[in-house]
Amino acid sequence: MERSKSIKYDKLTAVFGIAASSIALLSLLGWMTGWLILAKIGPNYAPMPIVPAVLFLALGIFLYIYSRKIYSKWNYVLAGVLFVISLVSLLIICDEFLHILPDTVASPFIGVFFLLFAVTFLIKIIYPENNKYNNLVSLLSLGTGYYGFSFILSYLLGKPYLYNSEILPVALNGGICSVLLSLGLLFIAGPDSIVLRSFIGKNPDAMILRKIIPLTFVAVTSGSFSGYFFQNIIEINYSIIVSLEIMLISGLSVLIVFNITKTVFADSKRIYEENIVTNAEIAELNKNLEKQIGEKTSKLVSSNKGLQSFSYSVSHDLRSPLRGIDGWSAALYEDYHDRLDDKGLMYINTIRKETQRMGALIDDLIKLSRLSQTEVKIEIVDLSKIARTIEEHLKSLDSGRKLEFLIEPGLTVTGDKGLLEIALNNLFDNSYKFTSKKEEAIIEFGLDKSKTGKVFYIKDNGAGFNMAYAGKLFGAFQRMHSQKEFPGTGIGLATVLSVFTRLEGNIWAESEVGKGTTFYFSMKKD
Amino acid sequence: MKEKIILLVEDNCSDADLTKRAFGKSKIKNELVVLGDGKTALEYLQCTGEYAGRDKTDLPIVILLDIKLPLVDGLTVLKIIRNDIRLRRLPVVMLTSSNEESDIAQSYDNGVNGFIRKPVDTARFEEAILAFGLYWLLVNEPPPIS
Repeated sequence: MERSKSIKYDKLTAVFGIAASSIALLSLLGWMTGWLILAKIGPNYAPMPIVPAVLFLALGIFLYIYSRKIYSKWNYVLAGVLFVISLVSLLIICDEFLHILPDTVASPFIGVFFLLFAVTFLIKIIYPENNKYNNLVSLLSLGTGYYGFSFILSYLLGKPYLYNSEILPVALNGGICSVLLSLGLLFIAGPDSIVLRSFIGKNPDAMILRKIIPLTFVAVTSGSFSGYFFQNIIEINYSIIVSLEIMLISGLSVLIVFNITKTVFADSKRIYEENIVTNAEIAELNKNLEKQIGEKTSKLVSSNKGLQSFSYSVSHDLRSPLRGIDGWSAALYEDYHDRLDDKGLMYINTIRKETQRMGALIDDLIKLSRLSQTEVKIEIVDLSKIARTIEEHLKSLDSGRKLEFLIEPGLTVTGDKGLLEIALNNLFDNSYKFTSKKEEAIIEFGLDKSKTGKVFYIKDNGAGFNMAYAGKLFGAFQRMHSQKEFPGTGIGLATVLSVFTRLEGNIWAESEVGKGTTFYFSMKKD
Repeated sequence: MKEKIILLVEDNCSDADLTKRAFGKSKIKNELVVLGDGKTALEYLQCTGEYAGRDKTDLPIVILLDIKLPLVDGLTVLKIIRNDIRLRRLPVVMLTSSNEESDIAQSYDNGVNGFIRKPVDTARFEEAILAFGLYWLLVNEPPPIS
């Protein structure tokens, strides 16, 4: 859509270019055929000299070529020609003081136009897509347009610039060509440049500007012209002219204000109506959305129910064959151990150990799957208290291990007590397990003051792990050590991650092999 | 007087045999009657159907009831027992693999006397059976028969 818009404006530029060229061509024809009226327009007006006619013709064609993008490969040639034209214009201006050229070559005033125009066109060619320069081009072309219009206005008032002076006046068709070329350049700057942008579109300011600019033109032109008309042609009293003019201008002003008010009101009405439509659309969308959410929720509820019955089946049905395997291998041991050699007895032992592990795995899996089903109740939770309870429990296991706990008192967090208990239990169990090969296990729990926000840590001096595998740490069934080194199901930390995901918190770890691991966690709400 | 029986309602043969074995290894000498589904268990207790001719006063000293059973599930069996004027005082203990909180809660809501979750570890299972037998057969005073 943007593209088609700029193509539309490019077409306008082409039309303006052709129009200016045609007027200039007419003047040239006038000079060639001797029908000077073609170069003059009015019988008593100054004719357009040959040099400006050639320049207007060339510039009009250039605008056309540039806007149609026919020979864009030759743009640098165009730039060169424009540079030459600006030099020629400079010469025309300076000749007023140098007197090298014949007096009738061109008016220095039209020289000023050519210079400005050529430079502006050059800027456009050198920086075709730069917004800043496009704005400059549009402003400059607006300036040259006004400049050209002032010549036309002077003719309307019957007092062309510099008539009867020594300096050559600008022809009326020269003024018209200037305005046409400037408009062409203005449109080539594109609809996004500052001048056109302020005019087009549905914005109220652009709409007002569209109304007010033509009306002021009409007011100024008609006001001035009528003044001239009454004074010079009908020759009535000057004060009557002034009062008539005031009447005319104030009448037009009333018209302008009326028109603007209408525009603004129509516009706000339009916006209001569009909003009503939009509101209705939003309501419709919301309704659809609610319906969709409802459907999704019921699907989710049923899939959650499915999950619940699944974990129920797992806990109930997977467990009983396991009990069978364990029970009957125990029976085998008890009733037939005297008929088995050591190897056979070891096999039985292995079967039972593996069965136990499978049982633990099922239990942990069920705990993990239940996490997502429990409801979260947010409250202030005393983490230090939970940690001390865990400390007591671990010490009561009476493993003969030397354990030291360093628990910072009074640490609280906003979260769900049950879930945080599960997480801390798993984290402490983890530390307890991985410090089992140390002479003395030191497990610390506290608030890390070096980090921004409330970041808690659980630090141990255990086996640690290689940080290269840190990405796998919280995955279910992922383990960093062999069963022989440290037995486990690989679900504990997945459970911890699940807790912090549900509580919208974060958990991460830092570790060094042989030195220990530190787990950090933080809550979003703190 | 003849020793009262222990009624085990369990559909899993392996589990039933393991329980039998555990009882056999303990000092408990009461006969263990094993029934495979809830419907048969109710017929046995109410002396109907297959067991129509059974002595109505011959009630088990304790019932071990699995929750997941064919035909009539454990919880329904429990509810029917508690609503039967002749059976309602019978000690019923759930013996099951489930540790589903809702199962435990519903069992107690319907007046169960105990809930044992069968551990995978056979040694611990046998411990549990032993403790159970000692308690219900020796320590506990059985309800009077109405």
